[in-house]
Amino acid sequence: MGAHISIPMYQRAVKQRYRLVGLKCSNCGQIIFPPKAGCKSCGALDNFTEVQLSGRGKIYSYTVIAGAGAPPEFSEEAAYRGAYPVVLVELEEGPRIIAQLTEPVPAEIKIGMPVEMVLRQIYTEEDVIRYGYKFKVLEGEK
Amino acid sequence: MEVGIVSYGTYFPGLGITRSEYQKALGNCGANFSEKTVADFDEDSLTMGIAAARDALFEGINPEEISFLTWASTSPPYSEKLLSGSIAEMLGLKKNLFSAEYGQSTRAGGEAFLTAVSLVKGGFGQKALVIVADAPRANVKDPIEHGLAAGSAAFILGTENPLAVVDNFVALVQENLGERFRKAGSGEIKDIGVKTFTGEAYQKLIAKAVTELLEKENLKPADYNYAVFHEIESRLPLKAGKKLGFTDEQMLPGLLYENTGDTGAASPFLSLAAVLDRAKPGEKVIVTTYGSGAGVIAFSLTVKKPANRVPVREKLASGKKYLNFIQYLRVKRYL
Repeated sequence: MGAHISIPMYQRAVKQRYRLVGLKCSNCGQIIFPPKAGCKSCGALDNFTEVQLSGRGKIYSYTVIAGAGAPPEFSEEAAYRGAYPVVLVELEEGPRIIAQLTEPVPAEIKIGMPVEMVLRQIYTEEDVIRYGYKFKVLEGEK
Repeated sequence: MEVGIVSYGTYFPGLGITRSEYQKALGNCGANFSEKTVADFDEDSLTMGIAAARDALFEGINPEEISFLTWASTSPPYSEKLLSGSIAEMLGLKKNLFSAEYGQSTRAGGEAFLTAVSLVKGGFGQKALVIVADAPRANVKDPIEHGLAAGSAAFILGTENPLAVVDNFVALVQENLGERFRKAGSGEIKDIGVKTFTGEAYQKLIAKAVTELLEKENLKPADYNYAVFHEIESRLPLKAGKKLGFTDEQMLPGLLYENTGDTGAASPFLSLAAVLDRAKPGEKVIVTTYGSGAGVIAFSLTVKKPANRVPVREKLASGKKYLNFIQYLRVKRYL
């Protein structure tokens, strides 16, 4: 296994993985996603409140995973897709996160394209389906 | 107290396959659609159901107001494991909610819908969320596979300011062997391959339920503006409806099979959504859900206000990626 994430570890993070719940630093207002122990903007270590992020954002950058480039937990999907795009999304609220781009993938992926979070199966390990976020390019932008 | 639909949402996967792809690959196609929807490699009934629910929970509805959750699918991602907890976490619902999960036949959506109606009607809470999602599978060598597709619909039920209220219902069961079934432990539906047998059972049971419903309501077919007959295949719904005295005009708005294929339990609810997309205040709708084996749940609604949603037919027509047959076999993990 590659970056094995145990089921208890995965479960602790379902709020962020299933529906993008982030943290807001009460000290400086920075939105933090994925949630971390400290604020990377002001260094505060407490006084965070949970915030539901909108799931909307823009493609900040992207790459295409091909050949044997996929981590082992994605090998089944990689074998099926041959190559698949992974995007760095800048969320409306500021944080940048990495996720797969779902079908129908536009013929040409462009930086700045508006995207929206969708819930999908990420991979299956120990027969347990790991659900999480991916992104789709918004209608009319394909 | 009037209970009704306060919001609804729908979802179709972004992949499709045409009937001509089947014909090119196999020489024939056992189902009469022009194109059908196909769930992607990373989709299942749960992810599709969540997409429809998120669509239904659009503006102004706080997920925390949901007190009841009912789920229906003949193809859940797990045969055993509660899904309500996943759904609650995926949508941000409160955790102290009553839930019920149905899936013994394609009538499951009717069961989930009416359970939610009665819970809200009982005054036990303000709002219910009904999710119906399906992506049935069969052996790829079996012609029953050809029609199978994927889709989902979700409804928020409540008592305040509904789009449409539920007027009445009838539910019937009878023994019917050999029609669409799936043995325990199998992921693939099958039948004994006698279409006339299913067709007769479907038409008789639907006719009985609709006749009883009309009697209960003291109405005639002509008093309804729309009639939705569960599209377990392409021709039966119109046939059954015409025998009862419904016209093309009443039935066509709810017919989606031509562009979706068989969306299982979700089918009559996607059709209901397609009807609500265009229905005007005061109009009446009759909906039937059919489950093989067999049973029918029929219910009637009166529309209270226009829905103002992205129409189902618009969603079906937009930006799909079409697969060839080999790609289809791979995305469905048949190959």
